[in-house]
Amino acid sequence: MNTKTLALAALLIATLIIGCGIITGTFTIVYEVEGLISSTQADLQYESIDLNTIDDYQKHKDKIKSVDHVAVVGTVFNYGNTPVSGEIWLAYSDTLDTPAEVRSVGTRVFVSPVIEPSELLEIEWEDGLSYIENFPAIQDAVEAGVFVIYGLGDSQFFYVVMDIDIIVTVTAGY
Amino acid sequence: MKKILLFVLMLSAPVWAQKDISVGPFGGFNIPILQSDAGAGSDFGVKAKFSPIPKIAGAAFFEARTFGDASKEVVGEEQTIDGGNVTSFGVEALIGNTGGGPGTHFYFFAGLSSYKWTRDYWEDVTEVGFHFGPGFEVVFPASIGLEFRAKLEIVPTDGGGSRKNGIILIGANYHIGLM
Repeated sequence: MNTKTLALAALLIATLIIGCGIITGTFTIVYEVEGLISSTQADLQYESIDLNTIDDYQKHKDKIKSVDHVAVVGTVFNYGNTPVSGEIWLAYSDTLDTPAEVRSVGTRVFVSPVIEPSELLEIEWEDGLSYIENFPAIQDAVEAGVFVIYGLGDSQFFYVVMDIDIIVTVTAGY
Repeated sequence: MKKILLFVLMLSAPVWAQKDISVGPFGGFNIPILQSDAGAGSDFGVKAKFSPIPKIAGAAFFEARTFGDASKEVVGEEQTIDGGNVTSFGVEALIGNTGGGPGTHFYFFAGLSSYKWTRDYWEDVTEVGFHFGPGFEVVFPASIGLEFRAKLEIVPTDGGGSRKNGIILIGANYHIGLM
């Protein structure tokens, strides 16, 4: 057996070991949340997310191998009178009317550091990754493509305004 | 003239095809392939190689790598995330002209490695990766070799996908075990 044959055999074995996941790529898409999420304990606002409106997502949706990471990027303003952490809750219903309902049905997927009254928190990509929690629920939502997010504050009385984008990184292919 | 002739004879590798042990450092570029969350970075490491017979060798290595920042336009401005660091140690088999005597040596290699990708903002990724590629070494009479390698690394990930990196390396080897 000559050297070239041995080398080709090694390559073939390596390819077989690795399996079919070799033809994949990692893509990052940005979903621009339209408008502001302006919520108080008495007047909740939500935003319906449809990732299918993004060409890159639609192109790779059926070939997603893994949702690698998700970040919330933008600003959270505390208009209330007490310090508050901004929260984003994930749900599949847009008929939830109270914070208690959202907390019982939804999953908290983002919590910001504490924001003082009348203060604005700017969240960049890297920070936005580190404030994410309950990632398996986000992975399911990204694979579904359609979901709802609610903005809340973690205190009894809150008034938060969020202006955010969502950055999703997925590995897709054959 | 005699010196030149002697040098040319020494570069005739098959004449010097012998058992060989070599060690040396290397460095180069780490280029992510189809990975939008990481940029190109650097790669440094050390490698030890043992060639018991002229056509086959085994090697063990350690690499410390970086990925460059990834960037994306978000909320109207360019934002970046740190690509993170990778440590990798592994073994590989070499097939071809792997003997250590003075001369030119062209070979192919394939191996596997433990791969750990660390980023401050996300949990570590630890997987077993595979790699293969061609290598070329010029060994000089003073037992010093200059080596060039290109390898494709494939790291399987959860869900059936994979991360792929192209790595280009240049290194120096000291052949301590010519026998």
